[in-house]
Amino acid sequence: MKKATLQADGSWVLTDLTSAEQTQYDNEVAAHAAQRSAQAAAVTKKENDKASGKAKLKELGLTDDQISALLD
Amino acid sequence: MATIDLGKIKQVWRGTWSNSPNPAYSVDDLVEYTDTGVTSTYIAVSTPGSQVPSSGGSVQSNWNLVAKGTADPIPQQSGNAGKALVTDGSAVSWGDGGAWTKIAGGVGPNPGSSAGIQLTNIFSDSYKFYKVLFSFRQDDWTRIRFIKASDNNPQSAANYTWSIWHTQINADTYNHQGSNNQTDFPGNYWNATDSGYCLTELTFFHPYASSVKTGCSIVATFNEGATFHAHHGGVVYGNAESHSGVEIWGSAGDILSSTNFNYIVLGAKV
Repeated sequence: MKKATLQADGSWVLTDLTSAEQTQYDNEVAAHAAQRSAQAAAVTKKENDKASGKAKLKELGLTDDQISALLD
Repeated sequence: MATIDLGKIKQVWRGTWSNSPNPAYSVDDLVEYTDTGVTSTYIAVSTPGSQVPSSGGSVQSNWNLVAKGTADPIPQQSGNAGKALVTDGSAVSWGDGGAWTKIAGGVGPNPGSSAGIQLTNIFSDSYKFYKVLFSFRQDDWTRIRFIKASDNNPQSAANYTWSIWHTQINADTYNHQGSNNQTDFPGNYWNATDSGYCLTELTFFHPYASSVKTGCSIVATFNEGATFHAHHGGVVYGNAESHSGVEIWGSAGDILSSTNFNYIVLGAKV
């Protein structure tokens, strides 16, 4: 894997990642994927909880407009 | 038989004035001469010898002015590529053509084999506001770091705080994302699409200043297949230090190349 560094004339200089940089890169790719998956899962859970909450409010007799006024 | 010398029967054009004319200049010779940046035409009214036609803007005794030129209003062009002529109301000089000036711009490296791109030496004290716009049209998302001016290496300490507000249509949702103590921050936080649409805009205020913290606003719009994402937010690095650029890389490991990556950096003065 390489990195590209911009030069003053607009060209690129490509250099190989050092083994330490490669390890850091691999670790960060994995960590970021896990972080974003966790955040996506939290978003999905929130959406599911919202849908579940709406259903229970409807069971209590609220109209869809009333539920939307409360939640949206 | 008596000989009558009529002198010249017409004026003689001698071209650009020379300090060693052959034959020597004489009355009614016409020359071109540049004095203090102004090229004019002069006529000899007596034998001038080596006397120049004009000096310091004053016509000399052996010459008269026939036609006065004007100074070239355009300053020396060498070393001013990409600049525009600007006026202060009384004189023109080379300067910035508009509110925003292009600092750098182009495509990714070719052949593309780079996971990360370092836009070094794009920030300085010359401008206060900067915009970095880039398009990474790839089924990948981007992570970014500031580059330290002290050694031109990316700042990877876990000290970035970022926050974005994200919306999407088709699989509609909206949500907040953000984190403290991060080693970088996102450009487009969700995947774009190969050969799709993707544009990220970072706006900075004086990132080169060493006495204040560097931050930037983040705006990204992109399509992930049929889903269209739009998010805006910002980031700040926790310590005050001078930054000279940014590092951008594909967070899922895709390559940035001349075919999928375009960028431009703009600067503006206050």
